[in-house]
Amino acid sequence: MTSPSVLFVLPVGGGGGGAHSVVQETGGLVRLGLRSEIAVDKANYHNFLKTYPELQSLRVFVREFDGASQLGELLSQFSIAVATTNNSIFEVHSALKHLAGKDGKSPRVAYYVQDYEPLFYAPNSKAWKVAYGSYTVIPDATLFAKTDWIRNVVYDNHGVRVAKVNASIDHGVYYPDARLQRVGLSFAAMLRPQTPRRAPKRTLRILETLARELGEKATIRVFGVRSATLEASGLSLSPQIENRGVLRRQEVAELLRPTDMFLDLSDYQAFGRTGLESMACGCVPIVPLFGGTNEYAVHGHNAYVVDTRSDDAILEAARHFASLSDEERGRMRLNALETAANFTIEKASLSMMRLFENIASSAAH
Amino acid sequence: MNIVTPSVRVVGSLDSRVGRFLYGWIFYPDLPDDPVTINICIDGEVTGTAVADQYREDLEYAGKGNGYHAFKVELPPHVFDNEPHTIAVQDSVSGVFLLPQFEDVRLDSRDRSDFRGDVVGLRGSDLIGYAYDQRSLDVPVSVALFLDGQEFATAVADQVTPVDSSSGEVPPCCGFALPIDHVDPNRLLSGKAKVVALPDFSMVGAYSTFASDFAQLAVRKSGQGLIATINLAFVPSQLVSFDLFVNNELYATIDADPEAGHASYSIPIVTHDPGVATYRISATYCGTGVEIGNSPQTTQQRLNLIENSRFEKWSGAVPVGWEIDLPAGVSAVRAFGDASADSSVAGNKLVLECGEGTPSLGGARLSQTIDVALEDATQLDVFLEGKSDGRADVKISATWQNDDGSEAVVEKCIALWPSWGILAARFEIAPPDAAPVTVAITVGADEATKRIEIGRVAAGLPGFKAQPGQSGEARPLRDRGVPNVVNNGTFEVWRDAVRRKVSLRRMPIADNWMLTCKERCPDLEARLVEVVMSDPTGGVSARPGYGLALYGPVVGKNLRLQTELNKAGLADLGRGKFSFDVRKASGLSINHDDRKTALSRIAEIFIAERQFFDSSESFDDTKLFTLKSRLDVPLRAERVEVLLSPEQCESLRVSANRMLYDLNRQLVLVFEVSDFADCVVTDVVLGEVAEGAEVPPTSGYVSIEDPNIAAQLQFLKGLDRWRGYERLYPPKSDKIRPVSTAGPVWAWSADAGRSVDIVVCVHDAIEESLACLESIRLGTEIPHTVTIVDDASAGSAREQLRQFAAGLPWVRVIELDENLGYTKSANAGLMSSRADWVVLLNSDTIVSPGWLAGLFEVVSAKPDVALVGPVSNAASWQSVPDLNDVNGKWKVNPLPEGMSVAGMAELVSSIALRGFPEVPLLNGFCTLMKRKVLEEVGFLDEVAFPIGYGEENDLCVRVGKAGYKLAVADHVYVYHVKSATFGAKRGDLAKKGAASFAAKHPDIDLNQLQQVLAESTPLIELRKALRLHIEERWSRPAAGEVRT
Repeated sequence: MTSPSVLFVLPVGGGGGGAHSVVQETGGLVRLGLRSEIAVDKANYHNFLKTYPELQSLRVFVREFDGASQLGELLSQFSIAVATTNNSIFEVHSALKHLAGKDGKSPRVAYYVQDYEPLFYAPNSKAWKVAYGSYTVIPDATLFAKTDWIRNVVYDNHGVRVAKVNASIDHGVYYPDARLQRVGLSFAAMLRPQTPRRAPKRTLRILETLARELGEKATIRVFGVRSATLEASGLSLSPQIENRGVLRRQEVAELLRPTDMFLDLSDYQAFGRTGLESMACGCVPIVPLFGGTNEYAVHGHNAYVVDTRSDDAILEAARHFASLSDEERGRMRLNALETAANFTIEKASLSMMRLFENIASSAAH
Repeated sequence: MNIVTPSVRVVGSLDSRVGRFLYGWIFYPDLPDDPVTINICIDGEVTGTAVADQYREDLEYAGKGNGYHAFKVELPPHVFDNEPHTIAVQDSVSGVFLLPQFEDVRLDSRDRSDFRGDVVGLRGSDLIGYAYDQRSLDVPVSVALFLDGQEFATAVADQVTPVDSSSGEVPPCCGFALPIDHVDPNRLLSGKAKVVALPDFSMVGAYSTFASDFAQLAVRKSGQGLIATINLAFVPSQLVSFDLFVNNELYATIDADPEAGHASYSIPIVTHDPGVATYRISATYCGTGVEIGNSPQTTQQRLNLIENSRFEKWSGAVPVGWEIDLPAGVSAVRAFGDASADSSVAGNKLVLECGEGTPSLGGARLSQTIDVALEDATQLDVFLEGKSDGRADVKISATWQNDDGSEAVVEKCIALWPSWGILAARFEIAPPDAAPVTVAITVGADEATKRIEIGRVAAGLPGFKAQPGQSGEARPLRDRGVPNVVNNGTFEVWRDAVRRKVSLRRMPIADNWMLTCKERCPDLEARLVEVVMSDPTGGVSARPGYGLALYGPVVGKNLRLQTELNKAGLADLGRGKFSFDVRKASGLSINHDDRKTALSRIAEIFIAERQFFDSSESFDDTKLFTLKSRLDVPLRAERVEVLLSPEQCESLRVSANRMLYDLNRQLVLVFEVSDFADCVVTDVVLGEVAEGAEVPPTSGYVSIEDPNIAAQLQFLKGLDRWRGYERLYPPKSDKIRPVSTAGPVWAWSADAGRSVDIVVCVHDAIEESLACLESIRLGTEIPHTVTIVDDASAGSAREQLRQFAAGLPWVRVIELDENLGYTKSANAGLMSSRADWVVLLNSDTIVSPGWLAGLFEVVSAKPDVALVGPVSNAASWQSVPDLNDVNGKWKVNPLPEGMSVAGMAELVSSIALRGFPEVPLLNGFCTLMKRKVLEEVGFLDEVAFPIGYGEENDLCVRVGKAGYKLAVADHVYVYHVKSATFGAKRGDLAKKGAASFAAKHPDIDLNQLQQVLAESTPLIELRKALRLHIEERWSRPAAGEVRT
């Protein structure tokens, strides 16, 4: 049996959490000796290259394609095509149709389900229908995901089984600073005013409450949004809360390292990468109970897992953390670091390789 | 008792055993002056001989020869082992036993020592007691106080004995006083301190009564209150905190700070309940629940000095105990509170009212002479709860007779109002020689009032009920709910014009109300209107009243109608409720053009903290919380009601208390209107709700922020939990264990013969070892000590072990400077131990909660067992669930996925048959051993098995050969990491070990022993049940799942 070759179809400009993990894990697969490349559509190609300068050092090839037929040709050179978003599974779908007409060799299709995307859109809108249909558009595709929550929700709603792979974060970027002298208590949160499921209003409300309650004892920082955008969304920050604006990954890590508590107050998180990344930087996060954060967060041990629908629940957690002694906080921080250390690119890539080999061998039979 | 045998006449008696000595006498009547030789028999065997030749006067008087026939024999140390023994004395010639024989006596192991003594208690800051050497009573003994293995004080026991020494048992000068004022009292609370005699560290006594000796509670009455005093034996060297409880509720926490230098702390207790009350006062050491000496105490307090205070008892037309003096035409009648009306006095009351034609109550007087003797000079607080039909001034007075016969009167004038209120007056009184004091209430002579209702008259010394103001002025005290913290909420008071255009950015309107806006709104009018308000009962009888109307366009953004709230009222707000009447202004014909506005809305109603800046009118508002937002103004008057959540009430209380005396800060209620104002507001009330009113759940609301998500929860499957309105909690994880920061707290082992020492030999692999030690710390609930033998570990291991032991006084580390190998280092630990039982535990194990108690269960069940081992994942025949791997080697069973050691232990414990099977061999990874047996058969064989591999089997065989039993605790699970310390050499070493074993025990066939192990039913059953259980629970792959 020859080892499988994999093409990740990633028609995005990059920057999102999902794209990061694909780039990293592709790099990991390459290092394991698996032929794996990324295909980006023409519109996003240059942006993508710009966003990920590390592609070269990771030895990851990025192919450009323009339209279904080009993608089809590309796909025929690989044994497995991996769709990474709901859009890309449709692109793969139409590319395969092109290929079928040309009598070319069709790759097996896998779909890396990174979130339950119908939740992103208004029900029955066009985008929602695309997302909802994505799980079944290619009937013999192998779906895989990194959390049990995704696997369950897809199975419950579409009757499709989803395999599991390990998640990873980039420990080259997200690492702690043990020498740091911690004074007072610092909080950080990501604000995404344009993404309602990230609950920007709730986040602001909670941060304002914390600012008022803890006063000068606490440093509160937010990132992910320019002040102008924030104002345009009708939100404002009290002077106690510092907005660092839109940050690059390294800058996020720099912000998180001296932070004690990271707040992800989203309605739900399919995985909650930033929460785990914050743990790798030595934060204790508050993460939503809903979704797949249970893959890494253990309430009271390395994180606070709360019903983010309830302000009380969130504040309770933050107050509890604030009431801890330095030693107790240190213990939780260590637990968090320990947990994050398990999510390596190597492990994730290995689990993916195992999956691809399974797919390839089942195709051979 | 005398025994005479026909052949040899022997007379004698074994009189007594005191400590280590047997006393008695023996003589041959036929050879009255010859001393007799005796045999000492223990458990039927002669263990020693002695000559009975000591003089006893009573013997000579009794005619027993020359009197030189007594004996005092010392028993050998080994019988002092808490085990039953038979002790007898026998004539060595005839073999006749003296009577009585002591059967089944258990000799206290403490008597093994030559030193006797005890701890008596605390005197000042000295721990006193006595100690002496039984063998040389004249030589004073040195004693030391040890706590957690650390010496804290030493003394020589040469002072007057603090106990009765007249019997001669205890020498008169063997008392000691050990100073303990420098010891942290908190450490002594555990009862772990002990006093030892210094030459051999044998225990003289434990000091377990420190908690009650050190601090003592005293309670005394003071006026009408109580004073609790905590007296300390000495000023402590460290902070000690006490919790004081009144009627089982925490009343105060008292810190005895060494820097304060006090040894006595008094806490006044204000007793709130009127009438005779029983108070249970107790004090404990903070956070321990350990009560101090003389705690708890119960005391009765009579608080209210007035009899029949609530007019409950009547004798005919007069309330019992009261004297009533009424002008003509005025009557005093008994009435009952009307629960539905505004009366707050639900019970009896006294009503004074004028008959027809009588103009007023003026001069009516109600008095009672207090039947309790009061101190010479004190303060008396008198409380009057009542109301009248209009303002009525009444006089409260206290009267007594002076020494010279003159009458002394002190009085205060207070006003009753048409609503119920409690009025208080404080009097300075000085009745000489406990002269009786009369309290009187008199209605002013020229009062126009015609009816007064009195619900209660009470009087007490300071501390009773409440403290009126220090100024001595009587003022009404509110005791039932905050009525309304909004002043002029009905807009009845206007100082200025009652109709104004909003021409200023800040404009006062009705009294206590202000309008502010960002820009002037010249077309907006604010005016007093008369409105028909909503009917709170929902009926048709609507009430006419006043209101504030706002009508017109708002320029700029926000028009704010605001009022300052009464901070004092908010400071003790209970369950708050906000309500007001609102309707549209249009339709009241208040404006010429009277436009009909389609929609009028109050954008937000909130409460804010306002900070004024010095010397300026400018201020800054911080919003506390929103009461209501986006309120559409109804056409007809409606009452809007908002129940405040407990959190909101709390935040109001906190804010109000903080700014109570700060003139620059206010709490304000703000109505915010934008765009176009068209509303009438009135009857604004922020006050307290009656008990029983509905309060929103404390968990607050829950909601999903993203409408897209909320919209599809109805039909998406698997997200049902997201839809509810109840706050959800994360599942409990077994990763979280309660972390014990304090470590074990136990008194010295009460279970004689059960002291236990856990010996762990460490050589490198420090992480594993620390995990093992930590698991011992967390999982061992019975008193124990830990001996760590550091077999010359490399690197930082030694330092890490020291650090581990540093905070844990029951852990000691033996540091070997040269690597001796397992057997020798284990022996070093075992031999140095003085405990009755020792556990030899491998450092690559993780013990489970309750493991040691479980091992001892076996000992209790089978007293002849000398060695006990648990089951494990990797311990040859003690392995569960599988013995062998696919290659036929001993299997290292991994924990089932997702299961912790504790979880597995719980499973094992729940499944095990508890057969405690007796076995010929035990795996040496974890063995509980009886030290006495070890001493008997010898420790591990260092010569034949210098580095392990076989030493355990050898010991098992030797113990078995000596007649003791070995057993497996099949219900105790200890995890064995099975590290590869010796790596590849393992096989060779095992072979060498086997060869040494064969050479040493040629008579033993190991295979045969192993057969016994293989056939042990409880273990077979346990393995089978575990396999079934684990397969069932963990090995069901989901359909279609690709396992990774």
